[in-house]
Amino acid sequence: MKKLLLFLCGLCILLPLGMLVLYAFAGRWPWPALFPESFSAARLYDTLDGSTLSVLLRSIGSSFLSALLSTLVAAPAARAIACYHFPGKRIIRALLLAPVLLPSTAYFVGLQTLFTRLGIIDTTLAVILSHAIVILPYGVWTLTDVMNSVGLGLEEQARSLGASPFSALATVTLPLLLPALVSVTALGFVISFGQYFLTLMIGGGRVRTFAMLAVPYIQGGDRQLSALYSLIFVGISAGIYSLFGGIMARHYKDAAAIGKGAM
Amino acid sequence: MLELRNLILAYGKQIVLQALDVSIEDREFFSLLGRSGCGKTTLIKAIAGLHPLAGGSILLNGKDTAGLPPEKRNTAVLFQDIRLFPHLSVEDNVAYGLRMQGMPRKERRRKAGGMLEAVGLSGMEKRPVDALSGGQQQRVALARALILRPAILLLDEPFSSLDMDLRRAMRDLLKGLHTNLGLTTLLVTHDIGEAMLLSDRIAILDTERLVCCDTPGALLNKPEAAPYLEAWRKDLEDQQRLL
Repeated sequence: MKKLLLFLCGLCILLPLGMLVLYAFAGRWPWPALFPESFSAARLYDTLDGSTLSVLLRSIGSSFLSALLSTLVAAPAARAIACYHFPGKRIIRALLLAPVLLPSTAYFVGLQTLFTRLGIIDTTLAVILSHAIVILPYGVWTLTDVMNSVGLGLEEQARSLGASPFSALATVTLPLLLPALVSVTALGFVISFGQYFLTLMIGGGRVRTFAMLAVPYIQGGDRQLSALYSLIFVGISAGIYSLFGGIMARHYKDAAAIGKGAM
Repeated sequence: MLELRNLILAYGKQIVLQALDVSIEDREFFSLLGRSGCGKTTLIKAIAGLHPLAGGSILLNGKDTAGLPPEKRNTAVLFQDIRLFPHLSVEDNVAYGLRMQGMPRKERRRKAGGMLEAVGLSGMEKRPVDALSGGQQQRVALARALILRPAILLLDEPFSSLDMDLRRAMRDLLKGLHTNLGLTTLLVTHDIGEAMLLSDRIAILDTERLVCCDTPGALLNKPEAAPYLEAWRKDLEDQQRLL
């Protein structure tokens, strides 16, 4: 039963991906053939021309910055929520989760108004900030649970052994939080990379991200082009996630070789 | 020497310890006996600088510790829940305090090796701490605390999670190290037997206040201590009857 469920889950993921690959790299595919007669990567090279590649690289950079910024805000917020008692804690927690609790259109209009007043609307900075805000709740949610389990006990122990507050944080808490911080950043990247409507509202069409280029093609009638853009989309997201996963696996492999670099 | 003068401790608005006056001499093994929730752990944290005082003062070797951060107090704490650093090896855990002092790596390794030998864990330097048994983890925690030669060793029911045999072994180890290293030790516990066996003096705490303080032998003859020693006496009588 378990194997059957796994097989069905795998099929649900692999079947659409397989279709995308077939469409993307089909050379000659006359009707009513079930599979293409030949395959070609020529359209991929055409798609990734100079300007598209530059937009793709800029999108990767801005999504990474949004994710990093969001994690930098989410980590201390999650720590405060998980480990300290203070007045208004529930309100602050609700506010931090607002970007996913409120209807997104209303929220985006609010952001647009704010950035217009700040004079940064239609800029890359505004897009990065708006993406970071949208990612924030996911980071706070995930990291609050992790902070709850790590707690302040080990830091207290480190302080009693002569560590300053910064040293205790850097040598005890941060290494323990690292896997969660990396996962949250990777998740944030994927969410930011896929933002279309928000980027359009805040960037005003002047800030071009890969999602802005891809969505019209995906919605258009050219199946091969839409399949190629979709594959690049999936490939970048999966690639970044795997990259972060690989970094962590290597980190733990080194740690398991013990000594763990502290001595 | 540790002096607690008119000490008041609170959690928010709730007072947990009131007007506590106690002096612990150099090289003395002093135990504070009290039921769960009577503020024992809070007291340990306050002495270590990890909990603020609501009133009174704590003097360490004659100096008021007010405003002194935990890392400057030269105290070492052994908590009930052990609190080993899970991402560090046995050796790195033991040498953590020395690393914070900026001691060179080679020297740290040498000292950590010596300390691990003293607690009977030679050869386990490179092991991850989660591969150790509960008793071994407690020994690592003890080694990590003692390697700093603290002015006072603070023990917060450190053996309560161990089984009887391990407890006895750890008690013997602790008593031996206390004597050999000339430590000043404060143990907080609810285990009367443990306090009686280990301590030079015992103070009994009850609902915010100190009931009495004396040597184990003298406490047996104090009427105010009798209600707190009753359960322990009955346990001893039962054990004698069984034997």
